[in-house]
Amino acid sequence: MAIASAATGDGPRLGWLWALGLIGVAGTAVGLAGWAGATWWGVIALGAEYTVLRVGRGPVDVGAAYVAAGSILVAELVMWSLDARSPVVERPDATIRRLTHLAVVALGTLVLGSLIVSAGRIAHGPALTRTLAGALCAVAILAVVAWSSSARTSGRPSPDETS
Amino acid sequence: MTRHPSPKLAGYASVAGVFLVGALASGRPELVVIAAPFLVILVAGLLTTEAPEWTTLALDVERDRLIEGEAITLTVTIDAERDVERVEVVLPLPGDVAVDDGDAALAFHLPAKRRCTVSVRLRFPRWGVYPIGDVHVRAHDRLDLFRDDDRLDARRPVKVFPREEALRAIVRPARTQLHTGNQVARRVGGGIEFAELRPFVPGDVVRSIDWKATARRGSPWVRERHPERNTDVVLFLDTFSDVWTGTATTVERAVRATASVAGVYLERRDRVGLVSFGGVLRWLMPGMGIRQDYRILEALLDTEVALSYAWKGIEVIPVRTLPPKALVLAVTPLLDERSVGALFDLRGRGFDVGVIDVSPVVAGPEPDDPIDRLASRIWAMERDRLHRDLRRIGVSVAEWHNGEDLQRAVWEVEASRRSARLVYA
Repeated sequence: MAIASAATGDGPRLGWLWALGLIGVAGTAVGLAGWAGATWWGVIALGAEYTVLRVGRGPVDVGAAYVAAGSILVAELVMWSLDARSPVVERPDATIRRLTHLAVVALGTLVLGSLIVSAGRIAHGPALTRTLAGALCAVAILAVVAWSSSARTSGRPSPDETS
Repeated sequence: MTRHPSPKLAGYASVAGVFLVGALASGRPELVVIAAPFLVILVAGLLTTEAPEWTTLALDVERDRLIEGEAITLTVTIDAERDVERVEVVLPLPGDVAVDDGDAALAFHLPAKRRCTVSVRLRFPRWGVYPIGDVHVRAHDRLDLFRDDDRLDARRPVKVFPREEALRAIVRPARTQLHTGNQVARRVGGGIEFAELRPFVPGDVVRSIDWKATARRGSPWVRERHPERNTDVVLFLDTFSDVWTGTATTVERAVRATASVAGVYLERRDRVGLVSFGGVLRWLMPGMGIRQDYRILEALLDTEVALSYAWKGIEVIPVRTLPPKALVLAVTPLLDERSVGALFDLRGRGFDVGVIDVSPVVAGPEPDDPIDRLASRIWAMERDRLHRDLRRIGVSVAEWHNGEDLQRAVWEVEASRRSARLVYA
């Protein structure tokens, strides 16, 4: 990003972009070296760099979904690499499931990011559309919470059964 | 079971929180887009996480008694009520145990109500007691926000007995005891081995008359025999010092030699005792049979070098451990003055003493450094002098180098005792 920005000749922001980019890379490197806590600072710095790049540059950027997918993949991969350093040997089925998990997370992030970007663009549209979108989101959140709660309690025996 | 959050939980919460605050502060919706996946995973993880319920968590050890160098299989069986995304089974192993097959730390996915087994084949290259069976199990939830640690403490001692060397002959004690055994006694009496012929005297059993000799000499002569008796042997194991000799330490070799010699004596129906003379004194009264063999082996498994500067002599050894007329066979590297002094004392008190010197000298080229070379020569001279001093007082000594056959050293001790008997007869 810093290199791209330098190519565009954006003088005042260049220092910030370089600094945040370096912090991001350094944080990830330290995270890979074994201190997991540094990874989050790296991810935050990279996100902040992207924000600095986007400040004052019009409406919401479609590329934000890709940045989000990249950020979460970086975090997940760093965690995986830290796990891989333990002497525990992973069976192939566990590796395949982890890869599948990564793919689902990346794809889900792209879909979710696109939805939020679309919602952001709708925010500039008519009030009725915004209200409908907000109501839909609220219903969806309630549905997710209800499903999760039922999934948690379905496996437990009822009080009558336990007594 | 202990539940604790993974580093992801705090990390994802921090990232989501910082980005959401940043989005509000900067007015940029892109930060919401970046925060969203972290937030969704966090919320979904918190709502769906559940501690695993093990239906089965068991450890099976193939057997708990084996000879060094042998291998056994350990099998962990695990089964859960619900699907567990990732289970890590870790079997901590002592340092000198080798994994022949399988993995002692394995991660896998555990489907609900499906039994999984983790097998690992372990080889024990050295004798000793190994507490095996402390199984650590860690379960990760689907989004890896929480980890549940569990432990199956099914520890049981796996006893690895020293490998015994085949011995065709052993050191024969000079004096025998009263019980019947395999050792031909020097005195005459009822037995199988021919001793001598003598003229018949009233009271002799007619069956003992040697008719050929009687016919030749014209008067009745009887045949005398040596009785077969057992003997008392006390194995004197020196554990004051331990020196690495290339592939094993002197104590490791001494324990193997002691186990081998004890086994052969017990097979011959001799009574065998044990004195482990070191920083910690251990002893076993002389006894016979297979039970005594196991007692000795189990006592040997506990052998270790305990550092001690306290002076110890044979007065600390219980009197009943050293029966009269017993052969004391010492297995020692002759490095510690206390054990050497004890050998001199035992001989001075009239015990029949033999020494297998577990040589701490490592075979190889002479050191390049002149000082080291000189030190090595002085040490070799001192050891030679010690051997001579022991032989002078009637203790037969044989040096047993690492890699050599124990039988050779035993033969050497026996041969020098035989020649000594001829000289002093």
